[in-house]
Amino acid sequence: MLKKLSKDPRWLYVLFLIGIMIPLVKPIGLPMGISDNTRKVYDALKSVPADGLVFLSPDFAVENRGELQAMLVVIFKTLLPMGVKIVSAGFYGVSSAMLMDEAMNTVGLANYGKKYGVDFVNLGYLPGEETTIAALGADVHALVKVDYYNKPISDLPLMSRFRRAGDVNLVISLAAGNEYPEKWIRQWQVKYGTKITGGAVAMIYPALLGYVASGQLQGYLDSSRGAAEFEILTGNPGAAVVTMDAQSIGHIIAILAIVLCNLSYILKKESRT
Amino acid sequence: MITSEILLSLVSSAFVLMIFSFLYRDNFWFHLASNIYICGTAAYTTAMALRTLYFQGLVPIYGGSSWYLLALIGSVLMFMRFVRGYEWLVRWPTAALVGAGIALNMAAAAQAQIAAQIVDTMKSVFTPSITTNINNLVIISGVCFVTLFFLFSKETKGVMKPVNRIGRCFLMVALGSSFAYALLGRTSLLLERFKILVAFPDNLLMVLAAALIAYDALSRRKS
Amino acid sequence: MATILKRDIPYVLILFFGVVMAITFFLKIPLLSEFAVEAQRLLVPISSAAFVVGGVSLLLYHAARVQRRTKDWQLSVVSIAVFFIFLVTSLAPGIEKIHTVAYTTIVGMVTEAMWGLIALFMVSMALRAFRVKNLETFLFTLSCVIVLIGNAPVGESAFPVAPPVLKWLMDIPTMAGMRAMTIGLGLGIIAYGIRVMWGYERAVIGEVRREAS
Repeated sequence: MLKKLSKDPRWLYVLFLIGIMIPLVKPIGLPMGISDNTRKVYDALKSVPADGLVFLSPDFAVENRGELQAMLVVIFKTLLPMGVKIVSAGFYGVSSAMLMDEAMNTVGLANYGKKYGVDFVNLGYLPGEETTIAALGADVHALVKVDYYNKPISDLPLMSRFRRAGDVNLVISLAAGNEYPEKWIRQWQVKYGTKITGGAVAMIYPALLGYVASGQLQGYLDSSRGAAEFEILTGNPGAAVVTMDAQSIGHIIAILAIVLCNLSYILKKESRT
Repeated sequence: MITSEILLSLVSSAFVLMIFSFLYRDNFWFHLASNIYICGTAAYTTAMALRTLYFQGLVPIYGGSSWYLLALIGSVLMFMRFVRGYEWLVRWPTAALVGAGIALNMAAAAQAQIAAQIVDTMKSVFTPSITTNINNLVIISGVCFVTLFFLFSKETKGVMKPVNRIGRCFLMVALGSSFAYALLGRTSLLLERFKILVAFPDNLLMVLAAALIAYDALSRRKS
Repeated sequence: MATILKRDIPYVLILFFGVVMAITFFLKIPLLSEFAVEAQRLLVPISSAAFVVGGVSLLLYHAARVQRRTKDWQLSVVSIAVFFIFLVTSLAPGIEKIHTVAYTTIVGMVTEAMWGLIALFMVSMALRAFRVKNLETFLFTLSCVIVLIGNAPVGESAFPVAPPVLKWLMDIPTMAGMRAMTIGLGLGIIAYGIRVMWGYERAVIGEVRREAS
């Protein structure tokens, strides 16, 4: 079997795919702990005063939807009942603003008694990466003229109180690349002392731990696992929790692959000697 | 009854299965799906960029802000890339972008990526708690050894040999965790697609795809 | 004259914008700060123009393939058609919904599928390449296995010691290694930035070093 798997990896792909499909059809429902980083993010969100302003930045595109969209939805659901005002803009790619719009439609502002333009504004995609983040912190109204739906921002009541970085209590950056939290830290946290938190895809999560330890980031959610923990912590179980069982099977198969690799290496070595 | 949602779900599942067909072997359907993806993304990016050019480039000029003429000139110079003999004009706006971007990066990196990280690394190893002391010692030594490992201008001999070895060990621990997290992330994306594929009626497409692959494999074996 | 226009002026622009932006980051000089803020705003449409150039380049590439009738040129015809359909639907007023539906249905799903494929290739790589030959590879494999067990609910249930071990692993040695890489990256950014501003990096302005024949 080892030889078959090493010669033709397609059998491993079949095994992996069948393995992750089974819990999706028949969930196991294993219990899950909550990490310190998730609690830090939760505390950062809860520390925003009731009349505060949060800048929500979906710094990811459709290809990262699987890891971060559930996180965006649960954070949005947590912020709305708190009474805070939310402004959103995407910097990663053109679809980031579309994903925010999708999250808004999934959550439904009316379900929380909120109104677009008064409690939430989506400024759309702002190209220019770090230059734009820096310019936004200095003067919002000079940079942005219309929102995602092409409405002039002068017609949106919420935008009258968001003019510069100093007006924001917390930036929540859901990042697909580690350069995004770093850009927010460099341009807003260092210059204006704005608190930054959020979540990241699993691949870049280890690279951000240094910033969490130094206090430059107020905790960071780790991909779909972090989203599942946040959903449980806030009492909003959703899409992320459902996939955790299948994730477990995927991890077991990966560990088995590592064990098999070393087993075949040891057996080959012994047969040579 | 086939609603528009069911139809759209079937179309997206078909495209997803075209991509997954690459696992079996390279084929035309995979190339078709990937070309559509590349051009669709490029078109949307181009559209949004055109919109930004209009709203943040042309509209301020109509509003009387003459400084934005410089932005318009810079944008036009970018298109000189397509004019034979005048491609070098692209260098001027590119230089402005590079200069501004690199300075913003440099200035902030010194504070955020170097100073703040070094300050946080300098923890006390003489606290009342032994575990805290050990942990802080591990952090300080890890950061120092890995940073020294990246000093490629120094030859690996004498005292640098064990220093490099320890630095490599810390690096391997960090990279092993990163690999696992990368796998975790990619598995989440795979699961997101399979959540839809296992549900009816998309699972019928999956059965069809499996049947087609099995047929192709058998006919290849026969020939 | 040609050298001044093609090489010297771009280097002067890099140095000018670089120095001004760097100074305004650390010092609050009113005139310079105003100039820096205005310059950042003016550079946004220029960077957007670069994206448009990219889109046009892609179109020209596919057009050339169709003209030369290269292998699978029919795919290029489909690509050009898809490009214009998406371009028109995302710009034309009143039909944004069609574009949103097409984008999320096709492009979004395909992108996720492509990235998800990498998980399978990573597992295949784990099967073939994760051989423990020395201390470094042992540590690499061990940290990988601990993270995989600690992050899976089934791992937490089977090994209750996994979450605290994972926390220690991530907070101490992994964080130390990653922090060192971050510091190295920061030093590299500064070193590269100085090289660019002093004109040592010709590739930045598209100047290719000619090989001596």
